[in-house]
Amino acid sequence: MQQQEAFTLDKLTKNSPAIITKICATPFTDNNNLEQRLLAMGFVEGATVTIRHFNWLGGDPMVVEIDAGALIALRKMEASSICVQTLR
Amino acid sequence: MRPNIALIGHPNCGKTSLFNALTHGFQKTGNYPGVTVERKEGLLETPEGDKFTLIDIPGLYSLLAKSPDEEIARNVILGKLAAQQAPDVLVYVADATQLAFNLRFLLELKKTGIPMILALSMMDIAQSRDGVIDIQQLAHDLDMPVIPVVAIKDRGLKELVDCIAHTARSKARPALIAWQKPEAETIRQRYQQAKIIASNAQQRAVQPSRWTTRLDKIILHPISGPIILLSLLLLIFQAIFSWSALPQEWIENGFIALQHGVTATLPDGPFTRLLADGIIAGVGGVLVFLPQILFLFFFILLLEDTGYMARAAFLMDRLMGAVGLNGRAFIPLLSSFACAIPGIMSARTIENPRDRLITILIAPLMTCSARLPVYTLLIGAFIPATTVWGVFNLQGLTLLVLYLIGIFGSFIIAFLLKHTLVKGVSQPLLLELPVYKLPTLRNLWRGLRERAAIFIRRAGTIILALTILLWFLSSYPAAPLGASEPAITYSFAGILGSYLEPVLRPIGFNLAIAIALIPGFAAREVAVAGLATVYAIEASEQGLETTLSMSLFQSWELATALAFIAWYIFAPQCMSTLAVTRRETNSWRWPIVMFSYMLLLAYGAAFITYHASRYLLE
Repeated sequence: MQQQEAFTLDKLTKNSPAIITKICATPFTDNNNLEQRLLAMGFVEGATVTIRHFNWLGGDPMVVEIDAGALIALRKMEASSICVQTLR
Repeated sequence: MRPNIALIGHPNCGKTSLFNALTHGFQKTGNYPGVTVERKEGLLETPEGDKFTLIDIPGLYSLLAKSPDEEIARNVILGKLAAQQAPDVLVYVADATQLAFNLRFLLELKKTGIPMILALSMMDIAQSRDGVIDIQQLAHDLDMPVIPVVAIKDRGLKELVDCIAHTARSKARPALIAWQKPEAETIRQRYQQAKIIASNAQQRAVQPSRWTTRLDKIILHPISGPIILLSLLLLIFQAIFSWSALPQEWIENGFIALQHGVTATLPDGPFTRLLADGIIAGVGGVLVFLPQILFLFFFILLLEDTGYMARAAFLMDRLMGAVGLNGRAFIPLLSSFACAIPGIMSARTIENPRDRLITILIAPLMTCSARLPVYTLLIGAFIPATTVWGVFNLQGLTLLVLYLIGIFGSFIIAFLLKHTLVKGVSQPLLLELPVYKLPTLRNLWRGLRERAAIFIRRAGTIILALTILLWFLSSYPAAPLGASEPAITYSFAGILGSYLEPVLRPIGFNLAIAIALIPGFAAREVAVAGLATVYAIEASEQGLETTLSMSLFQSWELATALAFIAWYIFAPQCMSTLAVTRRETNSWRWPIVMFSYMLLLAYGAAFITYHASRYLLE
C-alpha cells in the first residue's frame, strides 16, 4: 500500500477512499470541542473515509462514509479540520 | 420505589422500537415530546411480576452535553435530576451492523460503574450482511451480558427482560457515580479498545446496506434529490389541506349537533350558555385541527422511521444555512405549518443553542393551521374565485402568497436575530444518515397516539380555561334592556375593544375587529367566533362561515380586509405558543421578545397594506 500526499477531507474527490491521519481542529473551528465531537462521530485517526455525496447546492455539506459503515453528513468547514491521505 | 432501567444508545440504533416493544404501550411522556426528545417513561413488567420503570433516553453519541438533549441524558444517567434517581441498570442498545462505532460510547458509559447490559439490535440485518457476531466472546470482552434482539419481531425480548430483572437484583448501582468529560485522547483510546473488541467478536466486517447505497444514489442526487423532497412536501401539504377536510367536517358537525342538543334540552340560562357557546364551541374549535395535526405527524413519523428525515435535513442544510440556521431546523419549521407548538418542541433536536433559539422564535411565523379559518373566511369573502393564467385559482394563489410572506418574513427575522439579540458561534453539522428501513406500524401508531393525546390535552386544559375566561369577558356585563347594539359591545371585551380601537384605527381596523381581537389573542381561530359574536350571527342552515363572510363583505372595505389578513400573518395571537416558548427557553425574555417583534411586524404589515391598497384602489 503506497500512501500519497496529505490534504484535508474537504479537498477529497468523490468515491475515492482515504485514511484519516489527524484531526486538526484549527483555532477558527475549535471553539466547540470540535475535535471531541468529530471523534465521537467516528472521525478518528486510522479510519477510512469516502465521500459519497455532495449537496445539490454547491456541494456543501457532503456525506462521508466511515469504515464502510456509518454515513455522516458534515460541512466543508468541519471537513477542513480532518487531515487525510489517499491510498492506492 | 421501582428500580429505574435506562435505555440508551446512538440515534437510530433501534431504541424507540425496543422501548415500544418492552412497555406494551404502558408509557407516559412529557407534555410535548418531539421524537424521543423528552424524557419518556414506561412500565416494564416481568412474567414473575417484578416491575421496573423504563426510561427512554434521547439518542446520543457521547455525554459531552452540548445540546439540551445531551444535557438531559447526562443528568438522568448521573442522577442529577431532582425528581429521579440515577438508573439502577443501563441497557445500552447497539446497532449490530456498526459494532465498533457503537461500542465506543458503551465504553464511555461503562466508566460510570452502573450495571450494564448490551442489547444488540438489528442482528438479523447484520447477519444478512455477513456480520456474524460471537455473542459469548463479546460478553466476555465487555464483561457484561449481551442479548441479541429484533424488536420489531419481538425476538430476544424475553431474554432481555429476564436479564434486566436478574441484573437489577444481583448488582447494585454505585453510591457515587463517577464521570468525567472525556478528553480527545480518552476518546481515541476507547476507539482502539472498541475496535479490538469488535474485531474479536466479528470475524468479517458488515457489508454496507446495498439498499441504502442504491436509494441514496437517487434520493441524494443533485437533481432528483430536491425534486423528490419537493414532491414529498407537496404531498404532505395536499394531505393537510385536502384529505383532512372531510374528517374536519365531521368533527365540526358533531360539535354543532352537540351545541344544539345542549341548548334544546337544558333550560336557557348562564350555565347553558357557558356550556354551549363557551365550552363546547371553544373545545370544538380546537379539536377541529386534530385531523390536520395527525396527518402532519403521520408523515413526520413516517419520514423519521424510514430514515428519510435526516436526508431531508441534509438536502435543506444549505438553504437553511443561508439564513443562519442548520438543516435540522427544517423539521421543527415544517411541523410549525400545522401548529407552532409541536414545532417549538421538536426544536430540541437542534444541538446548537443559538440555532435552536432562532428556530423557536421564528416558528410561529410559519402559517399554522389555526390561521386557516381566518384566511379562508376572509379570502372567501373578499377575493373573487377567478382563474388566473388559465390554471390557478385566485383564492388559492392568495393563500400561497400568504404562506410565502410568512416564510420570507421568518428568514428576514432569523437573519436579524442572528446579528442582534441571539449571538453565538455556529456549530458544526454532524448528522448521521441512518440506513433505510421499512416503517413499523407499531411505532407509527404509538407516535400518532402520543401526538393526539398531547393535542387533546391542550384543547382540554389551556384552551378550555381561556375559553371560559373570554366567554365571561364577552358576556358580562350583560347588555342593558332595549339595547340596540350586539350584547358584546357592552361587555368587558367591548369596553377593552373601545380602548384599543383608536390604536388600531391607523391600520384600518374598526371597533368590531378590535373587539374580536380580544378573544382572538388566546388563539387565532377564536377571532372567527369573535367576529361572529360581534356581528350577532347565529349558526344557521347555511353554516356560520357563509353567513359571516357575507356580512363581512357588506360591512368592511377591501383595504380593511387586506390589512386584517396582513395582520394575521404576523400577529402573536396564541397564548399556548408563548407558554411553550417560556417553558422551552426557560425564561420570560424570549416569549416577550417573540410577542413584541410579532406584534410590531403585524402592525407594520397591516399599516402598509391598508394604506397601499387604499391608494391603489382609488
